[in-house]
Amino acid sequence: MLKLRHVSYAFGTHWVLKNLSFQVEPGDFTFLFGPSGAGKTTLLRLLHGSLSLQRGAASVAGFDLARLNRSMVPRLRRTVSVVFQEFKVLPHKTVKENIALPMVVRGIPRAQMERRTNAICRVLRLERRMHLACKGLSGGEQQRVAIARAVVTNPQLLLSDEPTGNLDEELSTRLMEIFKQFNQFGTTIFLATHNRRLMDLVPQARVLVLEEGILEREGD
Amino acid sequence: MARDKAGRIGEERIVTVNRITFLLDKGIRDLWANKWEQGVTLVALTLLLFLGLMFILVVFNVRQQVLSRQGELSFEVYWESSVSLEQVKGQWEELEQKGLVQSVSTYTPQQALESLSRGLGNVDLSWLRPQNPLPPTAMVRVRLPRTSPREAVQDLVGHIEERPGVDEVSMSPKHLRRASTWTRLSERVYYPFLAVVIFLVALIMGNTFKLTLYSKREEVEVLRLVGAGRWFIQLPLFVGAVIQASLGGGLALLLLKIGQRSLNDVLNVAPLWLELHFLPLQHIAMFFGVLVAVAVLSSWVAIRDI
Repeated sequence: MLKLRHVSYAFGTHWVLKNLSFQVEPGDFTFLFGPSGAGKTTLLRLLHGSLSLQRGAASVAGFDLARLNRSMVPRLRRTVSVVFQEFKVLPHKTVKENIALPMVVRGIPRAQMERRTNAICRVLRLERRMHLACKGLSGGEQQRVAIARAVVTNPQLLLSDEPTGNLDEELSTRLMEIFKQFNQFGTTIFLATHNRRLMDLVPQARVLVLEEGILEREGD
Repeated sequence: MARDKAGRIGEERIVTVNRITFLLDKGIRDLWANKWEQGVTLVALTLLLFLGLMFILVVFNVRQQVLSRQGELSFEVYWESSVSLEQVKGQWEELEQKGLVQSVSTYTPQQALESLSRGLGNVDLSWLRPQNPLPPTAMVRVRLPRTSPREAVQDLVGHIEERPGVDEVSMSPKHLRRASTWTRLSERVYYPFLAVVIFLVALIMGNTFKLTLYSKREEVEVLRLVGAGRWFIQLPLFVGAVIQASLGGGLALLLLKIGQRSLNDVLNVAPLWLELHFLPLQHIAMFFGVLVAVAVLSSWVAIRDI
């Protein structure tokens, strides 16, 4: 699913990622652990096509990042979903409209969209909020909307950058349960965090430790 | 196998057409979804376009006045007295069909005699009728063309002189020079001025669109995040911009027409007698063409780097 060989990335002369090599298999749950400034967000942005590969080789869900041009990035993003710390939901659109957005982009028929949206809302306990505008939701609810939007199209790979950064402990625990659930459904999860407590919630997950752009160690 | 392939291609075409229809419809629905914002933009656009059009209308009319007073030329054509009146009348009709000719005032020998009589204070000149010395005459008014005015008039004069029975064409070269100078001057002032006004309007209009589209940055960012392609994002925005530009342009033209009629009622009376003409169709078509082009271009520029 993810394969990196000697990947490095610099902003100007400052190297943020240095010679990273690792592999993630389909169906894995992997944490990318590291302090702030370690390069986690940069790596995720690289994997999501927001940044262009500078050095090394990387393949994400079958896409060779070295050969990825601008016109191919939307196709990559239709295969690989992402959830950010800042939610990035559209505040003036309803929960249902936000969740349905990736399906609208893919041209999925309306009936199928309805079924999937309803199913995801049930799983994430958003049924009663479906017709409310997102600006009226709490942080935890908005984050669930962001996750629902990310998984509604059954992506092969779900990238997540500090998804519980703005949430309290209870909500964080609930969200990790949701991630575990989707991992059980077959989605590969790659989650970046500096919160050790999250890793304790998913003991079977693999852990990659990133410090100052270098992959220090791997562990379960 | 060929039938299967053709069937698949046919299905793909239907899907593509459906997608395009969906995106066009989305562009219209997005406008309606942000009614107040779009309404304010429309008002700003309409006022801007109206002001620009007013400038153009005033300059256009000034140019028309200059051309009508300075860019026209008159000369007389005299036929030989021996030529039959039917032949002369035929040549008058032919002259009226010429592209450059604005008007032809014709005088048969009889009419010329009557005109002379009136000019002399209604003196009785009927005794001259049997041997009327006055020839068939035509007073020709010509509007100088934009390109090669002198050559065009000289060609016309040359053509008239060659007609059988034409005795003399009385045209002052000095008048021709002056008229063609005014024509060229007005061309050199009017079209560059028009281009500057259109450019300024386009610049401000582009900025207006860019500011409106700035409010959509968040939505565009999220669309990119979930894998929307370039056309999925841009086509609805183009549609919205074109609709707004067209509506704004239409409203501005309507306001201009009302303004032109009202001003005409005031100006086209004694002692001014200044007729304010509306813009010709080609100018209006050009104006709409520029509007749509600017709308599309500014939408593209606004979201290009998001």
